[in-house]
Amino acid sequence: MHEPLEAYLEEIGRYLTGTEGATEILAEIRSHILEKAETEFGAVDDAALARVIAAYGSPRTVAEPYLDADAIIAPVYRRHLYRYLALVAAFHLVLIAVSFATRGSLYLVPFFFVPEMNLPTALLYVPMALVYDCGLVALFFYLVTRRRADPRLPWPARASIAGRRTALRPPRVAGLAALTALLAVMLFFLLRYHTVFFYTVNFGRPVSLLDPTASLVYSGLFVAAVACETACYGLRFVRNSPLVKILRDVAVLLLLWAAWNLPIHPEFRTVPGLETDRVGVLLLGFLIVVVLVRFLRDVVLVTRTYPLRSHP
Amino acid sequence: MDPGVRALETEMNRGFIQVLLLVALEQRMYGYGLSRHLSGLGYTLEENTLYPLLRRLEKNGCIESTWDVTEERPRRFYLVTEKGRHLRRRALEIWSEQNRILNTLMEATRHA
Repeated sequence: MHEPLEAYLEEIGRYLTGTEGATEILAEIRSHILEKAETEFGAVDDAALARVIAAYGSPRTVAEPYLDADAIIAPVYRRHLYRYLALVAAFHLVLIAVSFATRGSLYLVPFFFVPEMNLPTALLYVPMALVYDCGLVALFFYLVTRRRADPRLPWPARASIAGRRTALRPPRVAGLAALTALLAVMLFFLLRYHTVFFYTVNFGRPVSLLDPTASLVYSGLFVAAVACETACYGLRFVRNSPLVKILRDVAVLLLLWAAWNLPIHPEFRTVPGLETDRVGVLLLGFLIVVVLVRFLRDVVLVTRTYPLRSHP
Repeated sequence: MDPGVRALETEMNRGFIQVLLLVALEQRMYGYGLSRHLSGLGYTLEENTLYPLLRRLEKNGCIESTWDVTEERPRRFYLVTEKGRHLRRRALEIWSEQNRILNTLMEATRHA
């Protein structure tokens, strides 16, 4: 009994668990190692065995070629895997945002269930949801691979953040003009009427949708967000970098986040047939999700524009 | 060795080693003996490549094995089967044809 050899074989055997003929494989490796030690080193002692074992390879390296190497996901579907994952994760994030904004549970049997959550729970829930999405998409492609039916899966070319776009489109004068005009109009209303949210658009006597204090604060934050958009768009004429877009996204997200967490509870004017309170929350939640998705897309763009390279 | 050349050699070896084993196992041999035999001919075959390949060939019915337990150390002997011989014949024909095409091309290049 040679303990180092038996320990080595035991380790290989662990990787071969469930493999047909594992006992014979191990017996053959044992026979080979013993004979090689005797022939090439003159004796079957610990030193000779250690050298033969070292040359034979690590237990995992030895075991791997014996295992059936059927792909869990066929290589042709690997590119689909990432793109479909991005789509499912985006859809899941929207569900979470809607559930959070409406303060209710969402069921999409049998794949999605988003319970009613407060903010800390929702933040903890998001990474777990992403892990679930990974499993769901991987399971789908595993089943497709196993069926060997070769279905033609759609390839959403521009629908996800996983697109291969690295070049940033140049800003256009028309875009800047439109943003500046929007900002000017919003500023005009804010300065003149102390609000940008109207119940009726009557220039003679416009009626604000919110109570005066909330109206002024929320309008100020929204005007500031549009100002950020305009300033960053203008900055891109000087330096068209994805970092400018990231800067814009962070600033707008902070402003929207501030609006979400304001201690001022807005008093909405009563609008027949419309739950204005709920609509306001939904609209704000939707804007946050949109900017968040845009932020993630721009982060991907930054990582592609400035890839990390190891120093020589 | 240049990594590119090594990768190419690995690729080229994939089919070659199978044919080599099907030829060598016309004589009954066990793993270590086979490895020594090939080594004597100037061809080094790692154990990690040899044994899994023997197993795969046996699974495909190209070779068969028997354990010899008459000596102090049990040894697993391999021998080519009729199916293996047929495969070997076809593989050698393909190889000859590839060799002919390559030689013709090289000859044409030399005269160009």
